Amino acid sequence: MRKIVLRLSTIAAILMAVISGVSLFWVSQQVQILERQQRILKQQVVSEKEGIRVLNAEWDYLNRPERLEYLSKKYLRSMEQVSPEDILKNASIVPEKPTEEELGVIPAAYPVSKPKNLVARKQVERIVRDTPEVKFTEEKSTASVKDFQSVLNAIGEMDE
Amino acid sequence: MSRKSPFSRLTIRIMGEKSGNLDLVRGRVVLLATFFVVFYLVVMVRVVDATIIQGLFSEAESYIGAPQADAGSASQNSTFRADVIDRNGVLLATSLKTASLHADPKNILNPVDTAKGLVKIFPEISYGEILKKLQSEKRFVWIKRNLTPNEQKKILELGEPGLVFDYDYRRFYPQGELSSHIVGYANIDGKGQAGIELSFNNLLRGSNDPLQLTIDVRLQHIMKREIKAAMKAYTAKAGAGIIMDVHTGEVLAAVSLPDFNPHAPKTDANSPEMFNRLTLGMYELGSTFKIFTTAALLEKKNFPLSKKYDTTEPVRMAGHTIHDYHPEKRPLSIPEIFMVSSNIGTVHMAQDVGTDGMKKFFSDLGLMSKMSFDIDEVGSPIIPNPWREINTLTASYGHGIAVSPMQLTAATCAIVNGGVKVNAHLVKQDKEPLATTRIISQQTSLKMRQLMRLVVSHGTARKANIAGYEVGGKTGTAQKNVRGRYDANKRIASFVGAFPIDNPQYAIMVMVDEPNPNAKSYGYATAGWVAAPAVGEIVSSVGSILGIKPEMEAADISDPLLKFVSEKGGH
Repeated sequence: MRKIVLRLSTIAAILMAVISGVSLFWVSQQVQILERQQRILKQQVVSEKEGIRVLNAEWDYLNRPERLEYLSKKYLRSMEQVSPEDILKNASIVPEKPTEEELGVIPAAYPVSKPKNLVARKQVERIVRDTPEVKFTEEKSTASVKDFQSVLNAIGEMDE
Repeated sequence: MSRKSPFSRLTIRIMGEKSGNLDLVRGRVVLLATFFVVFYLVVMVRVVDATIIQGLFSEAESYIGAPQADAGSASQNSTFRADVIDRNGVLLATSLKTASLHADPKNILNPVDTAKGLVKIFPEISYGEILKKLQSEKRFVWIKRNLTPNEQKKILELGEPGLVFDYDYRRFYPQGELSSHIVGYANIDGKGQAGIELSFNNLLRGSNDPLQLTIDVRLQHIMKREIKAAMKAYTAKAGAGIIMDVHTGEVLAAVSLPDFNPHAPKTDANSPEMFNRLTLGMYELGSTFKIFTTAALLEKKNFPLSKKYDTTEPVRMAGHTIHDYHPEKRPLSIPEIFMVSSNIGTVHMAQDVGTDGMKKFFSDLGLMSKMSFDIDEVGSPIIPNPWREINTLTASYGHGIAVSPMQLTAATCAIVNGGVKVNAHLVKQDKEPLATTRIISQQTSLKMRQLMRLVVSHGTARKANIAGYEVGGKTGTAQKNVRGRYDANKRIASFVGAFPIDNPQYAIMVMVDEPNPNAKSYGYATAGWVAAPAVGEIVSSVGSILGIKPEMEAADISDPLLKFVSEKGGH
């Protein structure tokens, strides 16, 4: 009886040793895998941070006041630099957008009946043609080649 | 028996004539088993060692992979330097990691193909040069330093094992030349050579936190644009300009032209581009000094502003004759003297204050000694030695004494801010300390602001007058001292002042070196024509950025002084 107890304990000891050995090996492998993942993540963080540094530098490079000024002059012609006169201290000074009533706009409506004395439509010479008249283009072309000064004068009249 | 432990077999005793042989075999089996047990024990110990001891404790260091320096790590060998940012966090200087390419010719598989591939990527390097390097006997040859990421990608695509990258930090200045005299530059080894980069070299190398300056790149740009325009209009040699907070001494803009590209500084240290005119340049700034002479008189003598000085006769002393540029030839009140910038009147004021009083006052304002500043490029003012009475008289209108534009601006801050001295500085503090050392009284400061406003509203600096922001200041047109003689054709035109003058927030200084008259200026190249319009432009541009509300209907603070100005004096 004593002999069997001894033998069981021996088996148990060996089993324990094997289990603990295997689990130790397993844990250490897990640790290694996690460490590798951690290293990769750390490296990714490092390279992301590097990327952010580069992007920050590029952002500030592209937003140089000199460049913004050049671009706004080139593309935002209607937006000028704010002058002291443009700054109003009191927002209520700014006139509100007038209502339709103030503007005197009469809302459009379908005509109920056509007045007989209204002949304005007939006087308007707005003729829509599918093809331009040859005569019209000829006239235009001869006028434009007459001389250079006449073209300039025509432009001047248009400006006025 | 068989149900018992397998070890029990060892106790089996075989009887018979060949039992001796069997005993021998059993002994060998035990030996062999012992050997295997020991062998596996060794393997086990080694496994524990490899996985636990070496694996856990020393793996971090021995890891073989792409060796990459930690981002922002400040190790001794790295050329990493902390960022320098402006007051709004805009980068002025940053360190970017770049790859440099070198080759180990022994590992190059095919030098000809590799050289051909490299020439396609770097057209600026000749094919023969690369080929020569790649087939040499050395183990290390540089191909190119500081690659762009795109170049690096193309090189990786070549797939040549002999091409090796080396990672290092390169200093990059996103604003380019804009603040090169303030920020300075660092060399390829990451060592500061000028400006903030030099004076804060150790801090920048040993830190990851950015260093914040008081500069504002927007103001810096506006200042540079206007000074450049003035220099171009009057074909001037150089220029400088400063905007400073009058209460704290923060430098918001500091421009010195011509400037240099910090990525490729001039190798000649004496070239005009490399010279910092803000703090290292010492100039006789002329009539702008009348601010200090007048302030000294008002502070020390307490004369009323109505007091008159006779400017009919030029002042003669010790072989010198002091004239007026535009002689009025009549007794002038103090506001008139200041407004028309009469040298004779100012000299009489200095005589009333006395040599000791003037020297003490200049010294209190920090004009007599080297100023302490955040960059190393600071010069000492040129003070007459020995100081005779004639020096007091010439210094009263800014001749015979040379100071830096930064000193002049800081001294002006003290005059207009209510009378306390400020320390000009570049490095931003969380809580900017307010000045406490009193130099002049509140009363005198107010009078000086009125006088400075008078110069802009009715005097020599009317071109600096802009609607909305009331500017006050003083012009100065000084002849340059060329080898001991004053050259009438070489001038320094300057303007120093503050805005808004009824409650000054910022001091402004513009200096143009050797302006020449142009067609529009009727033959003039004085400060009123050169510097004052630039100041007007700058103030109207920066006003909204600085958040100063324009006052269109505000009363002019110089109006009470007009009663001291006769009709003839008022232009």
